[in-house]
Amino acid sequence: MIELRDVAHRYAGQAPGSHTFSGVDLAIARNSFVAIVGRSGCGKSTLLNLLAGLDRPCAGRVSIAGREVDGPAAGVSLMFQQPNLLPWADVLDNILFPLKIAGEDLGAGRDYALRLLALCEMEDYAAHTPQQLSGGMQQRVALCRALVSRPAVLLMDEPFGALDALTRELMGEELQRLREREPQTVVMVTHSIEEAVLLADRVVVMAPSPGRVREVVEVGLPRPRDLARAESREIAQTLRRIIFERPVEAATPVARALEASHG
Amino acid sequence: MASPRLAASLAPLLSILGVIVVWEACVRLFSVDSFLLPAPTAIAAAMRESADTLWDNTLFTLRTLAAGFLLSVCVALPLAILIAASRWLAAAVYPLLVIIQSIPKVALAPILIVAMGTSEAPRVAITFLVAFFPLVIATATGLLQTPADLLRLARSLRASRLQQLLLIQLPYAVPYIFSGLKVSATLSVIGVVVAEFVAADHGLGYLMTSAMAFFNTPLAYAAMTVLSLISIAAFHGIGLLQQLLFPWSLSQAQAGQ
Repeated sequence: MIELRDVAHRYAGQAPGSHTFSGVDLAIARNSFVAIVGRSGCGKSTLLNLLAGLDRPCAGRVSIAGREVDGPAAGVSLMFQQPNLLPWADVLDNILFPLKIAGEDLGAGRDYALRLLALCEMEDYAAHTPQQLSGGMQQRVALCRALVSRPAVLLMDEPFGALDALTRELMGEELQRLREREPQTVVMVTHSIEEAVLLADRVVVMAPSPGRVREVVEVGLPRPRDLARAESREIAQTLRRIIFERPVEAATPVARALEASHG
Repeated sequence: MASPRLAASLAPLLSILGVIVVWEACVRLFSVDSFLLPAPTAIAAAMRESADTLWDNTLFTLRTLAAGFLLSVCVALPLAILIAASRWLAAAVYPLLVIIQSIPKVALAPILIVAMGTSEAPRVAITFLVAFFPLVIATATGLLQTPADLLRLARSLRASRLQQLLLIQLPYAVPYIFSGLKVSATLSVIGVVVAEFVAADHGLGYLMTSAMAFFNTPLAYAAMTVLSLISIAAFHGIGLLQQLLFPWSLSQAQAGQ
């Protein structure tokens, strides 16, 4: 369980009294998939950084599995918008990089890395360098790298944002396939409402100025999902309305209440 | 019709050949005295006649060059790592580096010889002083240019500072380090010649001054040609080393980083 209680954040140099976001209460159940959407500047990526332990809140408490997050933790993996692959390492070594840093057994990790590559239909590219891959393939390698340490929590910061629409869709399907084999809690920041509807169990909508959770929307559709279906379109429409149309003053954070009602 | 790539690789050879032909023609056409400006054929003849002398002095120069260059590598790389690791140290060391760099090494050479004697040491010291500055700057720049996202990745993986340095920053700085090495190697040749002008009884720098003292200009030009060849070989040798050891770094450099 990931929990944020009355969390506030401000950057150094931010005007006194102003916050990136404040009063954020959120509870994310184990092995659930939560997407965070919202307009630019509402603090989505900063929130993810707090969960990753790369930044600290100025108030409130962030915890994962009951332990307060005070720095990058084992079992939590972060995936970025850009693949950030090491140009001097081949695909397999890039995937094994987290294990190398952790000083873990690379022999066993190599087998799992190759299995992950096979699941992404990239088993023939293990010895390729990142420069030899397309953007979509590089991001698939980054996904394998994020999963190779078998994290309990996967944090994704607009992971498919730099890809074309078709590749985004394929990546989403791959992520689902990988999660079916090895489920983990996923928190994904995205600008794509459709992506959130396709992938997430719940969608957290954040509002800017000041940043806060405006609403949490339960998706509740069976998988595999199809955006062409009326229910999917309806949820996407609801999210769009919450993000763009609903007045800021009228919004009420209901995250904790929803979490309580869904266990 | 030659391909553009072949034309591009032939262009420097043709331009050098063109200069040599024009040079030879001018000397012959205007009957220029050999002690003022020897013709390329006269320089080639001097190289043939004094091959043994040139070889002995080349070995002497190469020894000093190698010692000075290696010393500059051994000092510059750790110094650059320290500068990149600590803002305080960078603030403290940078002014000293600039002061050292701003001192004319030709002026420093006689002072060093008085202080260190007429042994190999002052010549190595001068070569080192000329060569190490660009390597420090290039390496520190490379280390500090590491993309923030890569460092964020390392932090998220709980990498130690040493792991960040060894597994991310240093590999990322490889193209910068090799650029610095190329500049330093060619500057080392200048450094060693300056040192040999002032204090040596061997070496190509010494050979040039002694040849000019006897108006043996073709031999001086021959020594200068060997020095140029050493410089070019060092430059391309380091490039070849980069290509062999770190082929990925060439595409990274081409990508403009």
